[in-house]
Amino acid sequence: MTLLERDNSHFSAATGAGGYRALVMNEPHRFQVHREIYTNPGIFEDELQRIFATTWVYLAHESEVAKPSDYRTTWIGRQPVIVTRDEDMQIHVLLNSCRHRGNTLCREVSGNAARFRCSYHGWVYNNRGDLLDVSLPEGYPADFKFSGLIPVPRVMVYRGLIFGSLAKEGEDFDNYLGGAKSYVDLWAEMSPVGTLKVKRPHQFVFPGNWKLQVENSTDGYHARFLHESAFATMARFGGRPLAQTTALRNIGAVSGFDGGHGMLEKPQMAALETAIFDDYVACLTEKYGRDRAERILGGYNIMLFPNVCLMDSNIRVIQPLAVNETVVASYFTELDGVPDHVNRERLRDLQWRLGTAGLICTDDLELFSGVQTGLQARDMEWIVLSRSVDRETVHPAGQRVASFDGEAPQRALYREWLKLMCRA
Amino acid sequence: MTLTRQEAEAFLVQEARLLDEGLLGDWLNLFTADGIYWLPMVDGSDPEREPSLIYDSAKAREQRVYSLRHAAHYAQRPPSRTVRFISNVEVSPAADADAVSVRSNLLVLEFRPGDRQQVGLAQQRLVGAKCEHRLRREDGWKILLKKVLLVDRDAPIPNLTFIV
Repeated sequence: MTLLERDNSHFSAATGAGGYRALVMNEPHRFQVHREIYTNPGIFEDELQRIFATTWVYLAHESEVAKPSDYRTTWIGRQPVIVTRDEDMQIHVLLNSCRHRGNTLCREVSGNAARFRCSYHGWVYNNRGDLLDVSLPEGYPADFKFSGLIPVPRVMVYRGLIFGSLAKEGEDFDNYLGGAKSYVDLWAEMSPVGTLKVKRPHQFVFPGNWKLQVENSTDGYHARFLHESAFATMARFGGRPLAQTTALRNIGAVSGFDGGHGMLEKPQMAALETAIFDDYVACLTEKYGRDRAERILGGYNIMLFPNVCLMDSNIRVIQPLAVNETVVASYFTELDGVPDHVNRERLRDLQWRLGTAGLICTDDLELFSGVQTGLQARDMEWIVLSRSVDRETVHPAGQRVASFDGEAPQRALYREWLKLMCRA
Repeated sequence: MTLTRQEAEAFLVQEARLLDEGLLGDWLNLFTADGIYWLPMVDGSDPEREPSLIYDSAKAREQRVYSLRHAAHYAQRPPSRTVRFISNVEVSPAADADAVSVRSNLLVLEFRPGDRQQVGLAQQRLVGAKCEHRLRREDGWKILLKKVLLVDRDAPIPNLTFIV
């Protein structure tokens, strides 16, 4: 335990991969994780290498690169990438770093460009990553081998969601998604035609570890306590009465999946005006039938390992910047195939609850600061994730289901976390 | 209907005082019934289709104020202290004949009192913005639109709970 006590030690360098087993305590009646996984900069560096640089990571939504030559830049952990669509509508994911001296090739967040020219010495690439032009090429030896941008080796698009993996070989995408896949389908069917567009994101930054937002995204236990003021406000202003709102929270469920994914189901969480909600239900029923429509309306927060949450009407990307600094981007999803007023109402509702200045979102952000401060207490070693540990229903595909206040999703997260962190 | 620059400035200073002193009920009364409090992410975007930081109708403003005053609102415990500075005030005619447009620059110094060793507390923060108040003469001048264009409107920003 002495090594654990040195907060700024480079944990893995000191102990080797096996050391991480000491940080996740997984027993039949007890599941807890060590506080250092949120506070130790060495562990954070290992997460970037062993998790973000190996697993599948969500990069962008297809609608952000809808047209030929559209692009957007983003990150896999702290590695900069460009997602492009070429003239033949193929999607490419390229490291955003010039092959000459490593300069950031593209500094814009998004745009439309057939070519990228490095600002430093003028090397030019197309949006497939091929090197088209080197300025003053006679300066290089005759047999010098030039290279194009380095592609992210594996890219997959599922239901409009673009994922990439920096590992040349690794788990195939279907295995990665596993039991969560059927819920991603339900989430995508929020649109009666199965497609949607994402909008410019609400973005916020908090001085805390990225996993705090991951855990929180599927935590059904905290809502009525931390968000008491938001629920009281809904109750006071013609939303559902507080008692009813609270009761609704109790009929949801949580799940943990193999692969580290988690889910919170919270039926009809979105506080849409009744008449507009009814119009939306009618759209879905017409397309999918009553039973399927009811399942679609289940209200899902699907937290896909490691850092994207398909969260009712937004896609939430949780970007780790440092062990104690995280940026969250919440992309509103405008549904295709529904009347305009349904999307207007969904946007109003999302912004009010979960936008940058949303009544619920702001309390969560404040909380992450509070946890990051509290975790400085060294003798408070263990974070307890044991709720419902012995009351999970395990489905054949490995989905572990518990009541809405259980911690099944968080346990799934840390099982996968441990698995990847132990791979040297 | 005209409003002198001096009168416009007095209006903005009065609004700033209400917000700095936490007189949020009085602040609500500065708006017309159809008034809007808007913090866009992109200037000129359609707030019905494109996300904004805040796009509050009368009902949403009342809800926001109710929530801010609620004892359990964790993000405002402790509440923000603010000091506002207003400058560069210009008055011009608005599209509606009975309204005027007042442009100004705004600097808000925010401070959340408390223990400096707690992450996020006891640190000063500056929030800068270009503002437009569209005012309509009713029973005195009322706010038809308060548009606040933050300088960092399209970047990740920390907790934005207080009224700008």
